Amino acid sequence: MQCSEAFELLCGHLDHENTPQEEAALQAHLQSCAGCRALLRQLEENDAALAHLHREAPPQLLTGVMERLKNPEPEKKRKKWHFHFTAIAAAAALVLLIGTGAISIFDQGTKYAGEEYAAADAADPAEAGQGEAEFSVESSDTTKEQKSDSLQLGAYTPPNADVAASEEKADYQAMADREGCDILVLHDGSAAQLPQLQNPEKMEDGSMRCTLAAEELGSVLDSLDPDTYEYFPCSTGQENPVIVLFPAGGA
Amino acid sequence: MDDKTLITQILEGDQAAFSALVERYQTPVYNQILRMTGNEQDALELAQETFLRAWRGLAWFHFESKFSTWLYRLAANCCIDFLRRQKKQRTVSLTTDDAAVTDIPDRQMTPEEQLLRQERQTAIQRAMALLAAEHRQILTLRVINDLDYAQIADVLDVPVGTVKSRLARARMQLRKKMQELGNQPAPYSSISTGKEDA
Repeated sequence: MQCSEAFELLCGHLDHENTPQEEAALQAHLQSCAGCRALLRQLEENDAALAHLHREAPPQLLTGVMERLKNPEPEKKRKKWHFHFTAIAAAAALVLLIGTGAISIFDQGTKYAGEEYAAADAADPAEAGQGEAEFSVESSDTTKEQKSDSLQLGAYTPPNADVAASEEKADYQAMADREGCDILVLHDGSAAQLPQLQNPEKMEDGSMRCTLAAEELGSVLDSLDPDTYEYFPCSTGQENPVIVLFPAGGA
Repeated sequence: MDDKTLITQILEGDQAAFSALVERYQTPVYNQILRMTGNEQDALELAQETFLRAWRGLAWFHFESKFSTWLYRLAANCCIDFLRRQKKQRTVSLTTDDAAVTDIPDRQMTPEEQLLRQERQTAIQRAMALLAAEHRQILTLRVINDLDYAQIADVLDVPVGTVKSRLARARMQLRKKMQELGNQPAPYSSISTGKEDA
């Protein structure tokens, strides 16, 4: 046996996971190899030191969990995504201005081309200045309500349903870019039964979410009706983990 | 009382049963997260978040796996979300701010031996913080939380063969970091697991 082959068996020995045959082969090698015996001692020392890093959970873990169950904080009621106040204000104002024709630069183009600019603004909080507003991207109704509340824009309403849908998409895309992950929005709640989407977490507004490994995305998309999902890849372009969202009302 | 009975009671609205379940698993979950985040405050918050996710998700848990496996997977997902937010998967703070270095003195050890042990504890904590997230994770599950290969495979959703090879690479990397920190001689430094890390 080569020393390089012995290494995995040394780990199996430490973990009591070697088969009797593997253990016999390892012991035979150890008898004739001082280097691997020394290596085993080091690994044993490291494991012992690691095991010593074991900590008891602090008492406030349990008390904190139970406290939050009994008295849920408003901001913990559903998953929040943070958008900078001024980014949203700028985006909303831009859409309004475009909608009313107040910005002439867009007059020669498509009337609602500003949606893309709104998305770009929302996706770039670094340039957005101070102050934050919070809203959920998982429930379109709540999103609109909270946006209006947070921004205190009063009479602001989306110019039309298409723009509202585009804004929602911009929200998802901005979230994907900011979080550094891809977003998969599943409008058919039955998709939660897919084996790859185990343990979806239920939010209090009725929406659900879970995280999917990038390599599982293909098989999930293959299982879905294309009309029932939307996919927002992160702009970094690399393989990213995927946050799967089941908006409220989809189940 | 076994997990299944507790969970049945929880689903009937019994918060005390959930408290018992948290008490049962809080220490392994806390340890799993502590070694991933590198500091106690984040570990406390993420461990609480893990149990709150479990509370919200219990209705979808159909005992297809052991409850503990499902819970450790939730904890792993919480860590992934956290590390992604931090954008520094390989650069967890080196601050040794948990209580690892404040060992209870062992009366059977000489002061020199106790000092050595303390240095080794500090070094192993620093070395762990220098490892890739997946190596910290698997070493914690195996050595600190004492999960066997089959359960680790379930938690990470990988084959047992992957657990074996990943653990071997993780231990090799840990030993290398210990050497770099001057805490471990190299009996021979050229040994390789045959599969180098990225």
